Formats: sequence, C-alpha cells, structure tokens
Amino acid sequence: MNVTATLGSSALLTALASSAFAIVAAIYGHRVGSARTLIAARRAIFATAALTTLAVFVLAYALLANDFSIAHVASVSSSDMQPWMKWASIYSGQPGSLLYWTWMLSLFLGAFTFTTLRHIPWGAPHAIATMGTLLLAFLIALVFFASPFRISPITPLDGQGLNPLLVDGGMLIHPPALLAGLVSTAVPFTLGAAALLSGRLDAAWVRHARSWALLSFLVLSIGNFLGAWWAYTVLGWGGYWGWDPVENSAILPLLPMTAFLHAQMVQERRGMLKGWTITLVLASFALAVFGTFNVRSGLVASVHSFAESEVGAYFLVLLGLVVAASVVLLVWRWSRLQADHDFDSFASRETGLILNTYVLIALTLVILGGTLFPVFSELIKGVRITVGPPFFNDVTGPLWITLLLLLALGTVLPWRRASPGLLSRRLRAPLIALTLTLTTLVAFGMRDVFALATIGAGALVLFVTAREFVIGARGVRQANGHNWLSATTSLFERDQQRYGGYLVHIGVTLIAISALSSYAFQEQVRAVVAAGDTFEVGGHTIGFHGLLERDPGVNGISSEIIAQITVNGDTVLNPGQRFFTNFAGQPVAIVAIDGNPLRDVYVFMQGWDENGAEIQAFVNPLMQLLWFGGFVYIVGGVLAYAPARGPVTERRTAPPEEAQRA
Amino acid sequence: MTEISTKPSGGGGMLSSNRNRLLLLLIVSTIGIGILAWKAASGDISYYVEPNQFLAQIEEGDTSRWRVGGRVVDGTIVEQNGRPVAFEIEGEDSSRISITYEGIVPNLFTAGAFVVIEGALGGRGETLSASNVIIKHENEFFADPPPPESPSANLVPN
Repeated sequence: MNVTATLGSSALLTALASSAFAIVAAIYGHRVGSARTLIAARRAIFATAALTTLAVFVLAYALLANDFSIAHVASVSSSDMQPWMKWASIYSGQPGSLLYWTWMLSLFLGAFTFTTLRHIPWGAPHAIATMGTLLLAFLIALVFFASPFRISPITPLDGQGLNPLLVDGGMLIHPPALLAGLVSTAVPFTLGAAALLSGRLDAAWVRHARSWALLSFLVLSIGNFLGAWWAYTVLGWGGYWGWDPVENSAILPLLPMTAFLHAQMVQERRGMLKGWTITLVLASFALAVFGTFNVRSGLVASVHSFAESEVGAYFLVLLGLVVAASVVLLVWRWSRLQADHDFDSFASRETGLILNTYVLIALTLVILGGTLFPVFSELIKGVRITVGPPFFNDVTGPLWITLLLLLALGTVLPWRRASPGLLSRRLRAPLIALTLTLTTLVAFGMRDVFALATIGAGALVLFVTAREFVIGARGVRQANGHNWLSATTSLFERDQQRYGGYLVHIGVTLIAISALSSYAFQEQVRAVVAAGDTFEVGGHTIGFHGLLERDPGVNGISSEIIAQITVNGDTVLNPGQRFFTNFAGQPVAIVAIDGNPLRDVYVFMQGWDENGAEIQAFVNPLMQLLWFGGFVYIVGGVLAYAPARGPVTERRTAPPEEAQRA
Repeated sequence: MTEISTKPSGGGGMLSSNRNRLLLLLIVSTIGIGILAWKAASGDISYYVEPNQFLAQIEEGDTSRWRVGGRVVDGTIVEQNGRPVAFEIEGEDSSRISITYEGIVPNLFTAGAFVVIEGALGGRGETLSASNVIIKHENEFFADPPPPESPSANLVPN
C-alpha cells in the first residue's frame, strides 16, 4: 500500500464529505434557527480548506520524494528536476491544476469565512451553502475524475519530467497567479448568491463584495500581466497577446469584475444598477468556470489546451448549472432589483459609469463570441472556422478607445447633474491638451486614424487624471502647508479608493499607448541567413555569426542550439532552441531581447540547418511602457484597497478645493 | 433652483425620459458593434482542415488563409541546397496536398511527422504555399500509458 497516496486520497475524500456537510448544516441550521449548527457549518468550510491543504502537502512530499508509483508524479516530474522547479509540477497537468484550483478555492472561501462572514448575518447560512456547493463540485471532479493520487499499474524507473514549455521561471508564477485569480471570482459570487438567496439586495452585500472584487481584480490582472510577459519572453512569436482562446478565457472574467467595481459606485450612491451589479459578479465567476472548462475540453483548439478528457464534459455541465441557477435566482428576485431612482441627467457621472458598464459587457461578449466562433460555425455550417487577431483587434479596438474616453469623461463629470457652464470649464483645458497632442503627432507624420485616436484619448485621460492629483494636493497644501510630495501621498490616505483608482487609470492608459504602438508601428523581418550575413529591421542592423551548441544538463534539457546575433554591431543576443530528453518532439524557442525604454529589438530563431539559420526579428516601439504601465496599475490597485468597515456611512468629503469647484 | 426630476418629464414621446434616450443610444451602439463584428469576422476567416476537406472546398482564386494538418509523406520531400522546399502531406484518409515553403522547416521535420501548414493557395492549382510550417505535438493527455500505436508511446518511460 502506498501510504502517501492513501493519505492524499483520504484527505480529498474527507474534504468532499466536509463540504457536503457544510451545505446540509447551513440549510438545516438556517431552517430551524440553530446557531450551533451554523457554527458547525462554518467550521466545515475551514475543515475543507485544511484537508485540501493537507492533500497539497502530501502531493508536494510525493514529488520531492520522487514517488513515481503515483501516476501524476511520474507524468510531471523526474529525478533530475531541481526541487524548486517541482513547485510548478504541483499545478501541472490535469489532476495537478485541478487540485491547485480546488485548494485555492478552499483558501479564498476559508479566508472569506474567517474575515467577512460575521459581518453578513443576514446572509451567512446562504453564503455557507453556496461555498459548500462550489467546493463539493470541484472535489467531486478531483476525487472521481482526475485524482492526483492514482497509482499507476507499473512503476516507471523515472518520471517523464515537466513539459518543456514549463521549464522557465515565469511558469513558476504565471499559472498559480492566474488560477488563483480565476478562483478569486468565487468570493464576490458567493456574496451575490447570498444576497439573492436571502433577498437582501440593498447596498449591504455590495460593500463587502467591493473589497473582495478588488482583490480578485488585482490577482486576475497580475495573472494576465505575467502571462503576457511570459508569452513575450518565452514563447517567441514577437507578441504578448495572441487572442488565443485560453488567453481570452483569462481576461474574460476580469471584464465584468472591472465593470462591477465601477457599477457598484452607482448602486451605493444612487440605488441604481442593482440588477447589473449582481449579474456582473455572477457572470464573472461563470466565465471563470468557463475558462476551466475551455482548457480541459478540446472544445476550442489552443496552444494551452490540456486536450479532451471526461472532466471537460463535467465542467460543461457545472457551467450550465451555474448559469441556470444564476438566471433562476435573478428572475426570482427581479422585483427587488429595481432602481431607487432614475438618473437625472445625461451629463452625469452615473451616465458615464453606465456607459462604462455597457462597453465592458460589449467587450466581454465580443471576445467570448470570437472565441466560440468555431463552435458555432461547426454547428451551423458544419466546418470549423476560427477568427484570429485581426478580428479581435478590429472589433475591440474602437471599444478600448471608447473606454478611455469614458474614463476621461467620468473623472470630469460630477454626480447627478453637470450644468453646461461647469462642463465647459472642466473640459476646456483637457481639450486644449488634446488638440496640442494631435497637432504634434500629425505634424510629425502620424496619419493612422486608429493610432491618433488611441493616443489622443490617452492624452485626455492622463491630463484629466494628473489634474485631479494636482488639485487634490493643492487643497491639502493650502489646508496644512505640506510640501507637494507629502501632500500628494497624503491623498492616498484621505481617499484611497479614488486616488488608487486614478493610478490604475493611468496604468491602463500607458498600457493602451504601448499596446497601440507595438501593434501599429511594429516592424518585423524574417530572413534566412548564413554566417556573416546581416539584415535590416526597423532601422536596426541584425548580424548573424553562426551557431553553437551547449548542454546545461539540468531540468531534462538535452541540448541547446544557440544563434550568435549582434544588434547594430555591438549588442550581443543569443536566441536559440532548447531540446528535452523526454520530449523529443517539442523543442522550445529561446527568445533574446535587446530592450530600452524606447523600443525592444526582439529576436528568435525559427529554424536552422548546416547552411545557416532562419532568424525572425521584431522592433517593438514603446514595449517597456507596457510593463511599466502594468506596474503603476497594480500599485494603484493595491493602494485603492480599502476594506469595508462598520455600517454604511456618508462618503468622506473630498479635499477642500473640490467643494469650491462644484 | 431647477427641479431635479426623477420621473420622465411631462408630455409625450418615447424619448422624453433620460432613461429611454440612454436605451436608444445603447441599442444603436449594439447594432453598430454587431455590424463591425460581422464585417471583421467575414474578412478574417481561417479554416483548419484535413487535406480532403481542403481539396473539397478549395476554389480557384481563393485568397483566404488556410491551416491544414497532415503527415509528411515519405519520398515526397524535394530539397534545394539541403533544405526542403516542397513536400506532400496526407490526411487520415490518405488524400494528399502538395506544399511549397521558402523558409527553414522546424528541426523535427521529417517524413511521417505531423505538421500544420499555414498558408494560402499557391500558383499551381491545388498547391498550398506555406507561410508557416509547425510541427504539431501530440496533445493527448494520457491518464494511463498510451496505446502502442500512438506516436506518444515512445515518450513515456516504463
């Protein structure tokens, strides 16, 4: 008997029982009004988390001990793997990623139970029942369909080793972060479900959901940024976002979550958009489950797919149940979701936020539709048709620009109603800045309408947002006499949501400008060269000086073939290909990048033979602005994090200057 | 002080309330996005097919991108300067297409390898002029050791 495997399987089975108990105890305790039963239900959630954690530790032990009698261990690790690389083995492959997902789910829900549950007495039993159901659903998949502790009939002498694509530092953080991000949508979902089930649909659930939604927003965003960075530095096709179905699955939950973070402001202040805020958190989690299904099912072919398995079908059913349950609950509580007020004027922040919600939903549907296009085309026309990056770029491009414009407008518009005088005063300087920006760009020869629109919108946002900081800091200085730096930083203490949010907006704008410039102004050349040849790309000279071979001897790598490249005669780059002992059919490209703030020169080797090599080189303008923008975005999000405290109070007044402007 | 109205303003017309005006704006925008999406989708279609489907669907003068998957047929690889420039691929039902390619094929390109060709109709009728040749790795995830006839059989140590 394999003690490790038995221990692990038992832990998961007990966790399954525990989650089932939580559901039953919550419903029963609520029905009969037994506080003790509800406490037991709450503890069952903690127990599920503890048991799942135990299972993860058991798997980690099996990996470190090289217990290849366990099938999963044999398929994702090998004895020559460095111990820290085995962290990646935990979430690799079908059973591993499912275990990791369930573990993260139990941790998030456990944390929620620990910190927030006592603040929602009206919905605690409902929340526990929801959480128990989610955990049960995933544990069923783990225990019955994809157990990480299954013993293989014959014990191999050594494991297969990690999939070559994963042997990279980036893969130690991207999948865990992204999977955690997808899982994190379960907490706002739980709050929304609790609100619907209990009928308490005022601002109470929203206040708590806000903090968890922001956390989810942050973790999901980090996961996506890491994915983009990894794609760019490792996968070697010159880009960071290919509109691959799995990439799309990763960004889809983020869009409704972002919409929720903005729509909830309207609900809190004006009692409007109640139906929308609920729908958005439900949709976000549903899309996260869709993402889980998508990568496991072979439904849509992707470079990421785990390919077909029975778990895929299970998750499709699960997704269907989540959507069906959400719809039923929404319809049931429809009357309580009606708005308290209508909006007063078109020229108001409410309108801006409503339009913002609309655009984000439109983006979600377009990206979802494009991703599922092959499925529909096969159903209707009998042939699988895919749409690629041009479709997504052409359709979402105008939407992103609209989003930027709304961003600028929303910052400038006051709540409820703006008089024409106020509007013209606030818009005058930004519009001048916009005109100057566009004139300068056109004078320098830029003619691409899309580029001009993006950078123009970006300039508007940057101007308007920077102005908010200046006005705020000036107000603080006038009141307290601080210097500029401490006045600005104190803004984050006075109203962290607002100014943190402004930073995120700045980050988004920088990302948009960088994305636009590397999309519209990228240069690429693909050349077949012999040693001593050079070629030009985007004003840079690439020289090829032959190949060499090396063997690092670790992590299952059998050899590497490296091209010796120079950029403009001086910078040396070494792109190449890496081969793995156990994966003869899957070499991985090694990308080489020469970067400065103005541009990246990005080189990789497509192929080689005894006569020379095929080198592909890109020049990506303003590429590093993307990572910097991402950094600002995350910092802003972290600074905006303001946990809900106590009962709903009046919003804190803004710095003094603000009152005089109204 | 102007009265802040929270109800549709008095009088008739469907556009009299802010809410309805907003709704109209959203409906028009949705139609606009729909049209944009339709045009973008029609213009950027890429077909992933087996060789027999390609042969059945291809028409003269077709300019769309195709992706065809098949195994490289032994004995059909034509080389120039030591590099493959033309070869044939065959699908599961043994129907074949001719491929031409000007780049360097991936290292593991060999007779019998499963490749995905991205390209467009070439000059000569049913030839596919490849812009990209990708070796497609077996993507089955095997819970048990793979059956002996699978190409992955040699990858799992036992």
